[in-house]
Amino acid sequence: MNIYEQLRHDTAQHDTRRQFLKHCVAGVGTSWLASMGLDAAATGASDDDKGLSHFAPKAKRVIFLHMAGAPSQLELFDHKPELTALNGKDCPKEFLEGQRFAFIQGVPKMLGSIFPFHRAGETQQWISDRLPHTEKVIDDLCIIKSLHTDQFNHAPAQLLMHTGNINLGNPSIGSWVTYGLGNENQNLPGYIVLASGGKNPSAGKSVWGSGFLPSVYQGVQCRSKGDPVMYLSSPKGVSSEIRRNTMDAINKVNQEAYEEAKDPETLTRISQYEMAFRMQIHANEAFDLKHEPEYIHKMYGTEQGKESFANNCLLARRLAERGTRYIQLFHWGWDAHGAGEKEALNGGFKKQCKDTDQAIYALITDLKQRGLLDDTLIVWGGEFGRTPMRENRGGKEMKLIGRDHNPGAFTMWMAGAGVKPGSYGETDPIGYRAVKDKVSVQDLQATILNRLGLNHKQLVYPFNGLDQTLTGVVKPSKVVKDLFL
Amino acid sequence: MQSLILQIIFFSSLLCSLAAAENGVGERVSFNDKIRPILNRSCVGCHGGVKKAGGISLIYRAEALGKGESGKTVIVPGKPEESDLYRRIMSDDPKIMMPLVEEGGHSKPLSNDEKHLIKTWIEEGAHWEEHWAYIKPKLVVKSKDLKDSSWVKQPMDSYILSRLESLNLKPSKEADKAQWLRRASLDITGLPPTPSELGDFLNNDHSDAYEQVAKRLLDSPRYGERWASLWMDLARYADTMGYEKDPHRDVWQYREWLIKAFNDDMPYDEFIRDQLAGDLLENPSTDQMIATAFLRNSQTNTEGGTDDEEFRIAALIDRVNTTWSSLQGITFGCTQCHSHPYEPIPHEDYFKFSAFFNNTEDADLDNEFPKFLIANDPTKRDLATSIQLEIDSLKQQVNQFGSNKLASETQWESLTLTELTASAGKIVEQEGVLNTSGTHPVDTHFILKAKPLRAGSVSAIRVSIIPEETDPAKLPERGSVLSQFTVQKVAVDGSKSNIIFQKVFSDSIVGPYEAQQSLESGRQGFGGYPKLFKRREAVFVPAQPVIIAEGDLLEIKVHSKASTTGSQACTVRRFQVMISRDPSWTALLSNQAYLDAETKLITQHKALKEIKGSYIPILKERGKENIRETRMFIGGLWLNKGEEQEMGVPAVINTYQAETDDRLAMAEWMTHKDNPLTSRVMANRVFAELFGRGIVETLGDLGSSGVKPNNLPLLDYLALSFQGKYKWSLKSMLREMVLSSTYRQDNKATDDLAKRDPKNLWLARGPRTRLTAEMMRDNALAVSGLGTHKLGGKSVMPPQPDGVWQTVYNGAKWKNAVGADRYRRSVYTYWKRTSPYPSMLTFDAPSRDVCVPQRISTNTPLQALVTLNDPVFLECSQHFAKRMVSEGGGSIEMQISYGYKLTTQQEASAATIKVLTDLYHQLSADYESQSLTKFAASPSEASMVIIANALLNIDSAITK
Repeated sequence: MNIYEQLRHDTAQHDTRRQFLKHCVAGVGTSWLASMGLDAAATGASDDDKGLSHFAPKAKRVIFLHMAGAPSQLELFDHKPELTALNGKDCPKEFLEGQRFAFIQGVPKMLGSIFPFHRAGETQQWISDRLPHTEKVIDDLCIIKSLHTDQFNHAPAQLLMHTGNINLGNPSIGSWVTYGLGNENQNLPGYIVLASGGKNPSAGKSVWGSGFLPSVYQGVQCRSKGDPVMYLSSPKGVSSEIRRNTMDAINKVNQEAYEEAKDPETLTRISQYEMAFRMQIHANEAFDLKHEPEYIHKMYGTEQGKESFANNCLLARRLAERGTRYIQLFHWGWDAHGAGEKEALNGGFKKQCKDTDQAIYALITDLKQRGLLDDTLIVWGGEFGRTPMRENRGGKEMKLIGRDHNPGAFTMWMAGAGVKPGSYGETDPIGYRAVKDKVSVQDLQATILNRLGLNHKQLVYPFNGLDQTLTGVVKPSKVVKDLFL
Repeated sequence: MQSLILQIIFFSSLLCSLAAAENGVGERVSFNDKIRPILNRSCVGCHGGVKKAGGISLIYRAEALGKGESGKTVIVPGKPEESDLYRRIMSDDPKIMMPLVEEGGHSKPLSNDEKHLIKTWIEEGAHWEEHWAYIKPKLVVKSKDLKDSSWVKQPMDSYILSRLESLNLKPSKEADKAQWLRRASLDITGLPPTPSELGDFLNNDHSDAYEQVAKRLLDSPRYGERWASLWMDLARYADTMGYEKDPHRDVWQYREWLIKAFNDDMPYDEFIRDQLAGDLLENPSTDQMIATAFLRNSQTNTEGGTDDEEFRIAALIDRVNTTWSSLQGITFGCTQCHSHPYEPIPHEDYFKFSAFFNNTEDADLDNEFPKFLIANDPTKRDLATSIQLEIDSLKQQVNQFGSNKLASETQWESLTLTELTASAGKIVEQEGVLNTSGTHPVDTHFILKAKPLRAGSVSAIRVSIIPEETDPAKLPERGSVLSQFTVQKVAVDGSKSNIIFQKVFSDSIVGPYEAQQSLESGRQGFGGYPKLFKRREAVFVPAQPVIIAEGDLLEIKVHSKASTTGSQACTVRRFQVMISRDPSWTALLSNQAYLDAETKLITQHKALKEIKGSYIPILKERGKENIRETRMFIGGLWLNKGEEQEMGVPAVINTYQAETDDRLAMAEWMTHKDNPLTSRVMANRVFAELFGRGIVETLGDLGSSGVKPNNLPLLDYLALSFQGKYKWSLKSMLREMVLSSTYRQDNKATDDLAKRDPKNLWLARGPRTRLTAEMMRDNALAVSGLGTHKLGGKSVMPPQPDGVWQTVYNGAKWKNAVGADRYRRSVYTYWKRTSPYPSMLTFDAPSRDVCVPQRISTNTPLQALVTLNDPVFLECSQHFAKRMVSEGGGSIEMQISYGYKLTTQQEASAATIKVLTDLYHQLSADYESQSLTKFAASPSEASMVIIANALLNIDSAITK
């Protein structure tokens, strides 16, 4: 049996680990064979490579814009005139009994939106004056006002949003998706994470971890400064030609090792080195914003060489074009408690809006003009909402204006991939609790998976004696079909 | 393709014949081998521990022989036709047949063979067997049945050979000495052999040359470092606390203890006993105190506004799950929310077991209380330990003078309250109890003006802090701390005088704050912190009785300053103040025994202050008076509490009826000779480290949902030897493994073997596995000559790319180490949970947020990028290149083959030397023309650096 036959044999193996790594190995094997001049289809290794969609997908990829720290729905999308009328009054007792807050103590005051709202677009949706650019694409947005969670601290709520679990050690949704569907582009990681706002999200790298899934499915954090992928660049003084020649030598020596020991891992290693080489070329190209024309930079408001949300939005589009399956953006800085200038609704919050508004408009518009919005799902939102009460940290009135964490209601929106423009769900008259058409975090996850052609109950992985799923079994979860066209 | 299918058929028929041989003709149908797998696959999803559809569960025999809601008996032993189970699996009526195949059903119908098996099994009496892992290991002797036992060097070999013979496989030839030495060195010490170690061994013709090397390796201090790495995944060791802010935690002494414990070959039963309950031993040693950090390695949430009780519970759950997956290999975590779906472990058992851990002092506080001082000076460590233990005992002694009296004193007299003031919110009196309401910020105080019922002397004032909540299932409530208590006497003329209290006694000693501190400003004092679990009482005793004249008032100030993260105030909300006139309170203060204890306490505090060191989190019990109730969490949800539970272990694993009335007794139950899991789990784990795969492949799950053991007699032999003849000595067990013929086989597969057993499941050849994350870097450091050998100490920060650390609200910075610290072994690398060392993560190290019983080895392009481009590997390549040139010999060929030998311990083939020499010359030509060598002084040096790097990347250098 020669090595090509061996690889075929290997693909047919169905023991535990090989099953875990099925997609990875088959994908790589295919490309490796292709690089050797063989037709992938003829090797029988191509079936797995198409991924495991349970039904016809609407989206091929996801761009999740996580506004870390949790933006106030009451200052952006959830218009509440009755709350404005209550502004400055003591919070009625019924809203406080049995509630747990992060910082609010005793009896706080009610706080109406500090920014004016108006209706916009053909869909006539409410929006505040903080998002003039987003407003221009409001007819592409499916705004869900009735999200709710059961976590009121950042780290656990972010973990819940991305891994379906408040404890660490579970795979993130991007890991589930790449595990389920594989990667479209063999030259780039299938799950890429971009963070801006100067900080990583509260729950750290666990929100893009692979948990109990093999580590090949973990998100790869790419940076807009330095190497986009860690260790991507060859050391200075090693040209691409030198690297190519070195790779060839390593692979030749490894082929000899394979002939001797017949270890299938050696074969995989040869193909992984090939992929690493291709990644060095393609990832650098994918992350180089210099290739973009001036009008695109203007549209997004990018500043080359800096770390910014706008840069990351433009990178997200470039990655979407190249078939990256799951693109996760985090933008830190929305935790507007009012405890300091940067974290106040009448302070840093305004800048946060400015820093994201134009780039989001540009991303949607740009994807649309390239015909990519139809099969790209964009998701925007935080990990929970903010209270309709003004925060009174330590039981005292604070100088600046802020709101505490509120798991009971928050707003997220989706765009692209056949979601229906307009509003969905309602909160109570003060925006404290989701009351109509409530959407849980698990429902949101099931809905995202649905767009990708995955059934959240069938996308399983055996671990700890159970067929584990993203949405779990503790809380019920459903696909919100009313959100679809 | 056709030949491939044939091979698969051939291979699976081998397996079948093997299974048949094991079952034996004419024997009863084995429940464990034949029936349970069918039930687990097709039935217990609906009729198991979680769901009992139709009132039917097939986990316990007693239930399976009972009646479901239909009133029909599920299984009638001996009578399949009368058993509803059999009737239903045979039916083709979709309303009756099982498993349900209509929509919503989970399974396919059983095959005819399976139906027949179940029929026979019921006919034979429907005998139930406990899952193998719950039955004590039993020794099966295989050596006498072997066709040819000359291959057997160690007892374990006979088990492997017996299996090979039954499969018609032959062991491979013995590996060359260099291959064995490389494998044994990396497996035992985590480092490759040095050239001189290799030379010595190759030239050693003694009959016990292998034994000598095994001894040298096991005696090496490097051994402890390598095996501590493994344990650190289980112990989820990290240098930070985790969660959002993920601040620094000093706990490296625990790692040092691990290294020492492994190096000293501490018996494994003591090793785990000390980690679970070292603090409860009589006069625990410093090491025994440090060992308890095993459980304290859970995370602490310092995020503002988090509920400390919620995350104390999260840590408690983490400890239970860690204990079970690392030490017992059972997925006990399932039972947090419901009875185990597959194992005979009921829901309650989770809470019975968690009760062992539920009464430790730690409570998710930012300062990680309680901590223990470990002296920097090794000669003062034991002193520091004994002083701290003495201080704890003296505090109890001192307080008992008052607490005993408090418990018996009945003459408390209430006060007439004339005026109540609150700095925030409201305060009202109801039947002598003060209730407060409204918003109470940090720094809230209440002033009570009170009139004693009559004139005379007052010898003590008692303050009771009373929970607002009356339902015990809803406790604990927000913390409640009397930070400062001051009382003034107001005479009729309005003049005020302070009452000077000398001593505060409390009902018991618990929590981070001391009652006496209620007398000092700027400290926190008596109460419940961070949570109030029950009524608390303190007695404030003045040095001399206070003489109250007619008309005198007492002005009492109750001041709260304590808060938890995010300024959540821990005010006194419901309380009572009473007085005593009993002169014995005053007399107590001059009791000689009391005074002696106080003096000793002061002396010991002073002595402790003299000792410099660092504080690490440890376990400490709260004592019997402050036991936290352990209640079920209905559906696993901590706010949804059910029945109270007593401490206990699952009955199925305690057939030997060990006492389990505290944490120490639990540890002894676990290391009891009849515990069926403890030694199996560790033997299996060690086997997997050496042979690439466990005998039970799922190291963390030996239960009935885990993968079945592929050689149970071997596992049982190893487990019994480990706890029996080896007296829990890990080194002895390892010695047998590395000296076994199995391990000494060549790891090259013949074509035939590669086809028949591509994954080396049956070990007809030697193991061939990738180096672990730690070994990858350590190997590069060793080969280049950069590695340093300091044992133990604080964590270090070898270079990592800029900007990797970005944690909210945390100013900690990664500073690349310089000097020797830069080149220390990977086990010492600073481990930040939210941002672990990136190259190790790429090579499958877990983040250590939670216990990871098994690393899944992957093979990815990102790994290639690390070994090719990581500056750490470049630096190693630069030094390695110099070493090749200076030690390798005069010609390029010689230098290259020397380098090859350093990274693989093998002689390079002519083809390999040619490939690399050609590359060298090509590189030299390139560098001559480019003059662009950033990492070397000359084109030839640069070329050799690239060659060195290539040698660190080749498959044979990455595997062992």
